[in-house]
Amino acid sequence: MNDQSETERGSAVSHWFGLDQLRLSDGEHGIDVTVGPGSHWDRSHLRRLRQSGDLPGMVPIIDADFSADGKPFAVTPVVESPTLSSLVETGDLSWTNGAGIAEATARAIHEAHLRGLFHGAISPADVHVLGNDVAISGVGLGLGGRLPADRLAWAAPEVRDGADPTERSDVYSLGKVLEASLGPAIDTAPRSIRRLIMWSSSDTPEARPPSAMEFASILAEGLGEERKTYGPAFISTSEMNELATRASSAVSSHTPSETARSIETNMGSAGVAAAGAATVAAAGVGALAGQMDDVEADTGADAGTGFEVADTDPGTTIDAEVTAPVPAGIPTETAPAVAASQAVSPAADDAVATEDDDVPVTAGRSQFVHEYAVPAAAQTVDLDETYLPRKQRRRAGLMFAGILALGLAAIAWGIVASGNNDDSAIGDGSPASVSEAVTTPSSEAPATSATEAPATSVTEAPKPPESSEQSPVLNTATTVTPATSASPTTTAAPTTTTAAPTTTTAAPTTTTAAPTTTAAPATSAAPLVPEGGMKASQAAVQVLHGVPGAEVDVYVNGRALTTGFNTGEIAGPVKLTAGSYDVALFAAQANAVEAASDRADKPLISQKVTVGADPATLVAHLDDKGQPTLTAFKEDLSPVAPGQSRVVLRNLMADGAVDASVNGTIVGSIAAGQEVSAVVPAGTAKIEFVGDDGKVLTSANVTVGDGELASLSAIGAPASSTAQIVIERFTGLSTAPAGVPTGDSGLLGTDDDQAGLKLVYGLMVVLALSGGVVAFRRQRSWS
Amino acid sequence: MNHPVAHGAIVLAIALASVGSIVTAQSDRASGATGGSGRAMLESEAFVPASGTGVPVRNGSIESDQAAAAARVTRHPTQVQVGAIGLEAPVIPVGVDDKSQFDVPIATTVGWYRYGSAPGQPGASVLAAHVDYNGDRGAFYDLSKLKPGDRVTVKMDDGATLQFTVTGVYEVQKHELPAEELFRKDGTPVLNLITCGGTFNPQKHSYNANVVVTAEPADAVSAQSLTA
Repeated sequence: MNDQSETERGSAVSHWFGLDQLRLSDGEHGIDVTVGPGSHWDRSHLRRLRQSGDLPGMVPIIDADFSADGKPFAVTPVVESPTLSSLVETGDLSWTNGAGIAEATARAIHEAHLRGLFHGAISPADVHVLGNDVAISGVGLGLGGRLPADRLAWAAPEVRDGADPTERSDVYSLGKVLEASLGPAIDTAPRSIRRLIMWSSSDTPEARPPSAMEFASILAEGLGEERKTYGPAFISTSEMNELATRASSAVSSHTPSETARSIETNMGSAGVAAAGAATVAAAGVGALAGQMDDVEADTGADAGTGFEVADTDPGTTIDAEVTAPVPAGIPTETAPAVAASQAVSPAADDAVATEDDDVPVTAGRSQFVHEYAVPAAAQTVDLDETYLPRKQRRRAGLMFAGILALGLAAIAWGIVASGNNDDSAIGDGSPASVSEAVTTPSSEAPATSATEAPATSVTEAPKPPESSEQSPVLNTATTVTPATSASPTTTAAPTTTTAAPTTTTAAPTTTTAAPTTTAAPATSAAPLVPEGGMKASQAAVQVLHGVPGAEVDVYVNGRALTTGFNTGEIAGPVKLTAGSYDVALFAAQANAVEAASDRADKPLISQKVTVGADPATLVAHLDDKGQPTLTAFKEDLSPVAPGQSRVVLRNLMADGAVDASVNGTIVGSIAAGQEVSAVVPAGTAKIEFVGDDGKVLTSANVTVGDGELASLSAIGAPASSTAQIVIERFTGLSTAPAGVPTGDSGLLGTDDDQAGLKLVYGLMVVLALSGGVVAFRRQRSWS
Repeated sequence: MNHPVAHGAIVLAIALASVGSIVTAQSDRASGATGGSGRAMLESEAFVPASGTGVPVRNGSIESDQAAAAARVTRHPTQVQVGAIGLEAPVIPVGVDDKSQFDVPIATTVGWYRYGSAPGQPGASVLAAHVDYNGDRGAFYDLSKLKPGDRVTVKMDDGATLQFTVTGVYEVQKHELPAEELFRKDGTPVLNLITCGGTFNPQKHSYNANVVVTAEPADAVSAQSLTA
């Protein structure tokens, strides 16, 4: 997995973060099987690993699953390429190139962070340099292991102390990698770069740059225009699929940990070492190889790519299977380059352009969701829920779908071109989702700007008018529309309707630094609204569970978004392309089911929800009849005056209309499923939801900072004392003071004695003042 | 639902899949995934977003929010010293006035913009004071005389003393004040000292420019000097 080719370790078993790692080779390609700790590599971590296969800039995870005995494992290719470590050692690297590699590494690890994957101890040996691209190995594999001695220097102090790696701990490692990449040139590097190293190396996580993207941006700035830019490498593992599939299958049905341990033991006693090469040996592998042979025999296929192990007798040693260099295929035409934090169309062909894009993209103020390009190919991997045999199935599926699609495309084209009113025909007859996608409903509510005055001012959100013609790009409102005839009640979505943000600070930020997993944008409207409509119209969406007492599993378009979701919890944000989504909530099951279609039970709620271009929260709550329903709210991130903040109060309780009170003043009545918005001075605001009888149903003192939005959802049923407030926080609404008035007397540029002269000798005053100006300018020249 | 039309939708969906195939069938890997896409489309008769399992989930209750807020340590500056110009002045937290301008304290007191960052924290911490006030010199009267390398010392309310090193001194027309940058809330820690400068307009009783002194944490700066 990592840099075994460069270490003295010549065995089949190594350790990555104290995890057993088994290297296998078929003579042409090599793969590593890393056995993770069951305590940390849970189902969701394995899922994250599996779903990272498309991430450019990292050595891909070919497979991740549980073995037969419940031990989690991950399969990765062996990449034999120069690493940053080897390049620095040989001195073949200019410091600007070294720093460029560090920058690309930061951007690549940032993308992993967005998927909830961390490294823990990125070292130059983990950074593979493939031409002008880089790939990091070991991403996502460090969770829950023990840190080996040679990693200590690269890990943040808290990771050394046993904490799980985080965004900021990886930033620490990035600082160390950058330092190493500069080599002796560190003494002459720009100050900003040396400062960045200092900043990243802080022992306190909070004092480091908040994200790898921030790190990359600062570095890019320090390097300037002349730097060499590196991109993220996309390492094809297709040629290793056979090997990986067999290894996975064998490990799955065997027990990899036992396998690996027995190998290790035997290795130790036999003292096998083939320096620089990976050796597959001994008992465990013998058994493993036997397993693999079985697999092969069972399937009766794949003759000629058999896994060659000369001797499968337990206890003996097999002479080295030399790991051949992986042809580090970097098919640039398909390299799904990552676009920093810019919205990029998910289409694969955009990737190349993005890769060439050397504009250092600053993270801006948004910490909410970092948009990134997901190759069209990548998102679909997730849809294939089968695990080990899926590669074969995928191939078959590919061929089938490819042929079918090509064939039918022609037919479809014929139908479309035949001049029938195809859009309406589809809209009328096809399932609701398609028609929704075609019409791209968007009800642009009129702007009733919440007054941004220092005093508390409130605007009640009007109900959105019925949909008007509007492109998805401009869609600023979210609406909930009935799903199918069978769906339960729906409510018209209330919309906070403030004028669209006019400054660049409109991106929302959550207070949690949690990494975001981004749901790949779907492409519903794209083919029907082909003019690039989806580019700018992705929205960060959070899902809030406001139905009391029901643990649920949430499905979006039939796929699990999150499972075991509890009342009062918030999931997301996920990035969704503007359009219509089927959202269904089921009672939680002990064992998560990936596909809604595989569930036998009926959903609690199943609705079609339309997402616009703006950040939104999708709330599951009780309506005023006590029935569960879904409502989408757009988050109002329009700027507020300096020193101000915005609070939004949502009535999602099963009790009909309530009065909203802010700082003791009733600011409006909120019907069920509606909201009111108020701009208040930054500080603590007392929020109360008041019932008919004047009784406070639920309340909270909420501290909202300058330029922050606090969205407060009152959920539950007051009658059963389950009413509570759930809070979401967003930042990025702030504006700077309008000015700094710091003088009113005109003393500057005069001295006391000159002031005295001024009274008497006008001409001398002019001379004195001009002298003063000259002196002042001289001082100025220092800056 | 009427069959031929539904069929048409499916056909269209497949056509879309085929477009995807053509675009992405550059590698085994990519096209393999496209196969999955086609299958999903067939099954659902509509697009399916990638499963977002693994999305972060957090407790949104007001109690946990308040607990998090209580755990946050906030501190603010109480005094600023600049030996090079003999400045030693008290600092108070301030916000904005009724014109949304920096609410600069009177006379010789320095204001710290409390909606920005605290000194030493990520983002910009801003101290502003008058160059003159009501005919007297203000706390920042000599600010423009600072030079890069000069030391700025900030005392915090918890007793900590933070050292900063001046890295830049410049004058900027008030209407061109880069406020967004000077008051940025994130990024590298920086301390910005602001006062007035330029030409005085007796009618308006104000200057037409601001003097901005930028200082950075001394440990970062001095470490660079050492390595340089």
